[in-house]
Amino acid sequence: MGKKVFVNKANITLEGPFTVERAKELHLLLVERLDGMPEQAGGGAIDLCRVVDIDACGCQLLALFLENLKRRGAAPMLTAVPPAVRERIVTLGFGELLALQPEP
Amino acid sequence: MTTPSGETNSVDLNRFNQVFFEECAENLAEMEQILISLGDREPDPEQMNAIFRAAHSIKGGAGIFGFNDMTVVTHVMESLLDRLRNQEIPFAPEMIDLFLEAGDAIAMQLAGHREGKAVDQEVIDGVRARLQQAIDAGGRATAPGLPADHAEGAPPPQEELLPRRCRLAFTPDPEIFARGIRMESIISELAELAEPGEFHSSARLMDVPELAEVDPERCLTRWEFTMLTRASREQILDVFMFVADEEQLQIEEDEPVDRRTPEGEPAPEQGIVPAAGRRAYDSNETAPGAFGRRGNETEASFRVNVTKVDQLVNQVGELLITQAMLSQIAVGLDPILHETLQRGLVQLERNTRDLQGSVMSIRLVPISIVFNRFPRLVRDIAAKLGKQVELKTTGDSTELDRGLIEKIADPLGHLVRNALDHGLETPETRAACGKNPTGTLQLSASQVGGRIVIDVIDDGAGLNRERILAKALECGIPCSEAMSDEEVWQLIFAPGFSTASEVTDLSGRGVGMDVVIKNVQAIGGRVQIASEAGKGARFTISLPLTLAILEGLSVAVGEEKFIIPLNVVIESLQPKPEQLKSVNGREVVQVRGEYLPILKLHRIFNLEAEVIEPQRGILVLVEADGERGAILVDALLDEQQVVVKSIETNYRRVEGSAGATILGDGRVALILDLPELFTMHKKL
Repeated sequence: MGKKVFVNKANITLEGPFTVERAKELHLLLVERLDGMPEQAGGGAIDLCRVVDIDACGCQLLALFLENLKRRGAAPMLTAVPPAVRERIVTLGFGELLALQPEP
Repeated sequence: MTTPSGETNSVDLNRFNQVFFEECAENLAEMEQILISLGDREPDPEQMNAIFRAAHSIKGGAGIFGFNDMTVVTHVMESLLDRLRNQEIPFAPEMIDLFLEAGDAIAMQLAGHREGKAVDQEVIDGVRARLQQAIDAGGRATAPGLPADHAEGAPPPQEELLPRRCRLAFTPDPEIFARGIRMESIISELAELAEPGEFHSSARLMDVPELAEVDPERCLTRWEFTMLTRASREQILDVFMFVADEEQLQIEEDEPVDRRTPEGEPAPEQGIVPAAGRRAYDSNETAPGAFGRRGNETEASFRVNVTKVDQLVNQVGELLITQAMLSQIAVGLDPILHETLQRGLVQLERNTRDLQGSVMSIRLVPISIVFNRFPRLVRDIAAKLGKQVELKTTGDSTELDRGLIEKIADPLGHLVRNALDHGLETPETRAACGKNPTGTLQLSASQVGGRIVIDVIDDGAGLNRERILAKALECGIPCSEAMSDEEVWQLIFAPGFSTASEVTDLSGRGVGMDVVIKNVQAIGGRVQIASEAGKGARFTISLPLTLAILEGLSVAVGEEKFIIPLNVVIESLQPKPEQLKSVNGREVVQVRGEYLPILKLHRIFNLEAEVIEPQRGILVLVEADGERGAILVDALLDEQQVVVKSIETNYRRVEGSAGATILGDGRVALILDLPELFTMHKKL
C-alpha cells in the first residue's frame, strides 16, 4: 500500500472515539501524519470537533503525538474540543499535557 | 484529512472481562454464603465487612470494566451496608432477604453480560428501590419495620474523619490499558471521595519515545492526585483495589485540619507512606474497607485459561504415550549393552509420572465450589415447602477434576431438590413420627481410592417400595415383587418415572432422575441408593477422580489387549481346579469362602482367546460399586498409566468400555467399565 498523502499538512482533524479500542489504528494514523510533517513545520491546529469520546489511552496517545510534533518544531494546539471531551481530558489530568486552552 | 471512524477491536477486552466475571461470581457466592449462614442473626463486624467488601469489589470492578448498569444496585447496597457497618442504622432480619435478592439481581446482570441472558429491569429497579427505602427508613430515629429497641441500643455513629489533604502518586502497570481498565472510572471514584472542588488530577508522561516506536496500548503515564478528603485511607485504597500493587501507589497525608489538637504535641510522622494497593492491605482482613482475599487464595496464585490447562494435560498425555512406547522398545534391547539408555528410560518414566501428577493437580478444584450453591437453594426451597431443614456439608475440601465439577453440579442439585421435596417431611409429620421437626440434609464428599464419592443423605421418610413398584407398573417399566430393594430403588432412574402425587416446580416433573443418572454416567460415575423406611435415604454418587489419565493393568485376551482400572483390582490368581465351581449353571471361583462370578472377556467381546478354561488362564479379581467378580484373561502384561481417550468421539460407544487408550506399540486398547461388564455378564 502506498504512503498516504495529506492534503492539508498544517491542520489535523481527528474523528470518532479516541479510545483504547482504536489505539492501534489511531497510532498508525498519527505516525503517518507525523511522517508527513515537514521539518520545522511551524504551527498546527488539531481539530477535535469530531472526536466523540476519549479515554486515558487516547489522551496519552494524543499527548505523545503533541510532544513528537513539538520535537519537529511545531507548536500544536487542540481546537474545537467538544465540552464532554474537554471535561474528560481535565478529569483524566491531561489538561496541562495537552495544553488545553481555557473554554472560550 | 480526517481519521477513519470505523470500529476496530485492537484489544481483546473479552479476556479481561472474563476475569471480572469470575471475580464477580466469586464475590456473589461469598456474599450469599455469609448471608445464608446468618439465618436471622445480625452479622458480626467481620461478616459485615466481608459482605461490604464483596459488594464494593463488584461495584468497583463493574465501573472499571465498563459494566455501569451493575454499579446501580451495588451502589445502593453498599450504601446500606456502610450505614449498617457504621451503626448509623439498625439491622433488621428482613435485610438478609433484601441482600440476597440484591445478589440475585446482580447475578442476573452478570449473566446478561456474560452469557447474553435477558435481564428483567423491573426486578433490578425494584431491588434498588427497596434498598434505598431501607436506607431512608433506617435514617429516621424510629424506623418503621425496624425494632425500636434496636435503634435505641445502637451506639452513636462513628465520628466523621476530619478533612485532610492527601497526595497520591500512581504509577500504573504498563498493561493497564490493554487490561481494559478504565482510568476514568478510577479517577471519578477517587474524585467522589474529595470535598467539593477539592480534587486535582495531573498526568505526566514518564517517557516520550518516537511515536513510531510507541506501543499505543502501553501506559507511559504517571498520575498525581491532590485532594481534600474526609475518606479513610482504606477507602482511598479501595479505589485502586483491582489495579495497584504495593509499589505502584504512594499516599502522602497531611495532618487533619483539627483545631482541637493542642499545640506543641508532636505531629504524627509525615511523608510518603509506604504501602498501598491490594497486597498491602490484604493483610488485615477485618479492617473496614479492607480488600480481603477469599478462602485459601494466596498471593502466589493467578488465573490461567482453562484451555491452556487442558492443552497441557493433553500434551502430558501424549508424552506418557511416547514414554510407554520407548519403554516397550527398550524391553527388546540388551540390558548390558544399553544400560545407560535403560537407566535414562527409568528416569524418564519417573519424571513423566511426576509431571503428570503436577499437571493433573492443576485441574483439581475443591467440591466446595458446588456445595456452596446449596445453602441458598435449601433455604429457598425449604421456605417454599414450609419445611425446616438443616443442611450439613462435610469434605468440602475434597478435590475433583474441574471438568467433573461443572458436570456434577446439576445432578447433585436435582438430588438435593428431590430430597427436600419428596424425602424430608413437614415439621408436623416429623413431630407426629417422633422425629425432630427440623430435618437434616447432609452433603458429604470424600476420596475413596481413585474415585470421589459424594453422598446426599436425608433423614426423611425414605423411599417407598410399594409406591415405586406400583408407579413402575403404571409406567410400563418392567418390575416384579421379587426384586431386591436395591433393584427397586434403581427403578426411579427410569425415564418418565415419578411418584410425586402432583407436579411441582421443584422436582416432581417426571423428568430428572433419569437425567441425573445419564449425566452421572456420562462422566464415568454411578449412583447407588440406600433407603430405610421412616429413617431416610442416601444417594451415593461415585465419580472418577479425573477423566484424563488412569492407572491401569493391561491384560491380554487373544490378540487383544484391555486395560483394567487399577483401583478396581483386588488381586490376580491362577485358580486351582478345586476352586472352580458351577452355581446355577454359571462358572464361579471360590476365593476365601466367597464365590465370585467369572467374567470371560472373550465371550463378552466375542473374541478368539488362547485361554477358554479358567484353570489355564489368570483370574483378575475386581470389585466395583460393591460388586465383585473374576475376569478371565490370557496374561497380565503391565501396570501402566494410560491416557483416556473418548472412544465415542472417535468411533462409537462400545458397551463394557469406559473409553480407550493408545498403547506404547501404537495399538488401541479398551478400558474396561466393570459395572457395565457385570451387567453384560448377567445377560449372557
